[in-house]
Amino acid sequence: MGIAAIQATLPVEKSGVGKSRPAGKTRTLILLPGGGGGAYGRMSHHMTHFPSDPFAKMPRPVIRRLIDAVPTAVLPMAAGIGLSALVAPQPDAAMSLLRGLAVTLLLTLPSLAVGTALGTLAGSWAAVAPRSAGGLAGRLLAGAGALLPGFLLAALAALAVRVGASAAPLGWTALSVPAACQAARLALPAMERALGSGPEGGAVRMARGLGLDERTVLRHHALPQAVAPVMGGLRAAVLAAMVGSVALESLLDLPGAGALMIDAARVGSAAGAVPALVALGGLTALLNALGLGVRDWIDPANHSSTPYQGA
Amino acid sequence: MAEFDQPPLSQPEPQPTGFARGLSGAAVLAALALAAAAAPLMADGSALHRLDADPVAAALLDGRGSLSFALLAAVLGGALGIGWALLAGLAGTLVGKGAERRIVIAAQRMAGWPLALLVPLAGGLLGQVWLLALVTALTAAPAVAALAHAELSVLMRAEFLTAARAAALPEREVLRRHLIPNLMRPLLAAGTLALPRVLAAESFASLLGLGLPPTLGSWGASVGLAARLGDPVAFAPPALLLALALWAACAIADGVAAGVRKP
Repeated sequence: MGIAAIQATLPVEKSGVGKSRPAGKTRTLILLPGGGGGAYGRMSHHMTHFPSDPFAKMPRPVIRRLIDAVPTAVLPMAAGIGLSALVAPQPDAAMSLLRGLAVTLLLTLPSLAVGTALGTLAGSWAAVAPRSAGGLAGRLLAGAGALLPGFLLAALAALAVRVGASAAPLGWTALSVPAACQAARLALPAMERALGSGPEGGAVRMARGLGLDERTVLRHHALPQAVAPVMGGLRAAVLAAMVGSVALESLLDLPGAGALMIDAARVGSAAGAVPALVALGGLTALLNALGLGVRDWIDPANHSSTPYQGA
Repeated sequence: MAEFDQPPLSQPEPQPTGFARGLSGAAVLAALALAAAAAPLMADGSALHRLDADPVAAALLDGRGSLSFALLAAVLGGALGIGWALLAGLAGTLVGKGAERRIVIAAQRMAGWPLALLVPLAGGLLGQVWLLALVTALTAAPAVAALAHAELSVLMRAEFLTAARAAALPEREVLRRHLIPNLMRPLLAAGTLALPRVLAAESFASLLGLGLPPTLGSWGASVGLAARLGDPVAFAPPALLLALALWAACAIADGVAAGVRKP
C-alpha cells in the first residue's frame, strides 16, 4: 500500500483545542495506512480516532466545559445549599440537601453513562447489521423512546420493588432505558450517514479504500461520527433522567434531593422545596456540561490537528 | 470524487415517513380521546373510582382528565412559546439583533433546565388547577419559543421574500401575501411540540400525588397509586394508555415538523 497524497483547498475548521489553519490555503493531505503523517482539514479530521489511551488524563475539552459550567452548575448547587441553610425549617437541611444531591448524582450519572453507551452501540449496530439481534434491539430502542418516559419506568420499578424485587439494579435500569432510547435514536441515522454514499461517508470510503479492515473502519472512523451527535443531544436524556430520578426517589423513599423537594412540596413548604429545585437545576447543568465536554473530546471535527496515527 | 458522492440511481427515494407517523399518532390520540369520552357508558360511573372496579374502564375515565388538561396546557404553552418567539423577532426589528439574541438565548437556556420539576412544586404550593395549567404551559413554552424562532429566522431569509421586496411590493403586502401564509405551518409545528411535554409534565406531577385533583382523574395519579400499592393489574391499563398517548403526541409533533421541513 502506497502513500495517498491529495491536494485540496480546505476551509478553516473550528478546532476544539484552539488550533486552526488559515483559510483557502492548499494543503497536502498525506495518509499513511500504517501510521505517521500529518493531516488537516475536512478530509483529514475523519481520519483520526480516539487517543491511544484516552483515560490517561482528563481530556482538555472536558475540563474546559466543566470550567465553563461553574456559573450555571456549581453556583446554583451552592446557592441551593446556602438557601437551604438560611431558610429551611430543619437545622440540618443544608447537609441533607448535600447528601441528597450526592444520591441523585449516584442514581443519574451511572444510568446516563451506561444507557448512553449501550444505546449508542445498539443504534450504531442497527445501521451496520439491521437484521441481526443487536440491530433489531437498536431499532426497537430508537423507536420506543416516547413510549418509555423515565418517570413511568420509575413507577414500574417501584411496583416491582413493592412485589419483592431489588431496588438498586431496577432503579438504575429504569433510569438508563430512556437514555439508551435517546442515544439509539440519534446514533442510528448518524451511523447510516457515516456508512452511506453521501458526503459524510467520505471518511469510511477512504479508510476502506486504504485497505483498513472492516472492524478498524467501524471502530475508528464510523463510530466516532455516530457518537458525536449522541453526546450533543444528551440534554434531553439528562432531563429525562433527572425527572425519572425524582420520581424514583419519591416512590422508593430514597434520600435524594428530588425526594426532599417533593416531600417539602407535599407539606406546602416553599422554604424546603425551592432550594432543592435550584440545586437540582445546577446538577442538571453539570451533567449537561459533562456530556458536551465528552462530545467535544470525541467529535472527529475537533481532531483536525491531531496527527493520523494509523490503525 | 463528484460522481462517487452521487447516490446510485437504483436507490429509492426516501419515503415521507414523518407524515405517516404524524397521521397514525393523530389517529391513536383521537381514538384514545373518543374512548375516554365514551368510558362512562362502559360501566356505572359511580363504581369507576373504586379499587375493585374494572381497571380498563377506570383508566379510560382517567384519560378524560389527562387529555383535556394536556390539551388546555398545550394550547397555552404553544401560544406562550410562539408569542415569545414573535417578541424576539419584534425586539430584533425595533431594538436590535442583540436584544433578539438575548431573548432567544434565555429560551434556549431555560429549555435545558428541568422545568418539569416546577409542575409538582406548583401542585403542592399553589394547588389550583388553573395555576397548575399555567405553570405546566410555562414549562413547555421555552422549547416552543426556541423552535419557533429558528423557523421564523429561516423564513425571514427565504428567497421569495427577497424577490417580493425586490419587486417593490409594499411591506404590508409582503406581510399579508407572503409572510403570514407561510408562517402558519412552521409556527403550528413548533406549537405542537408543547403537547407531549405538557402531557408528560402533568403525568409526572400526578404520579407523585401533586398534579390534578382526584376528582378530575389522571393516568399519572392512577399509575402512582398502583405503584405504591404494588398492584400490577391496576398499574397496567393507565400506564399503557399513558405511554400510547405520549407516543401519539410525539408522533404528531414529529409529523407536523417533518411536513414543514423541505426535502
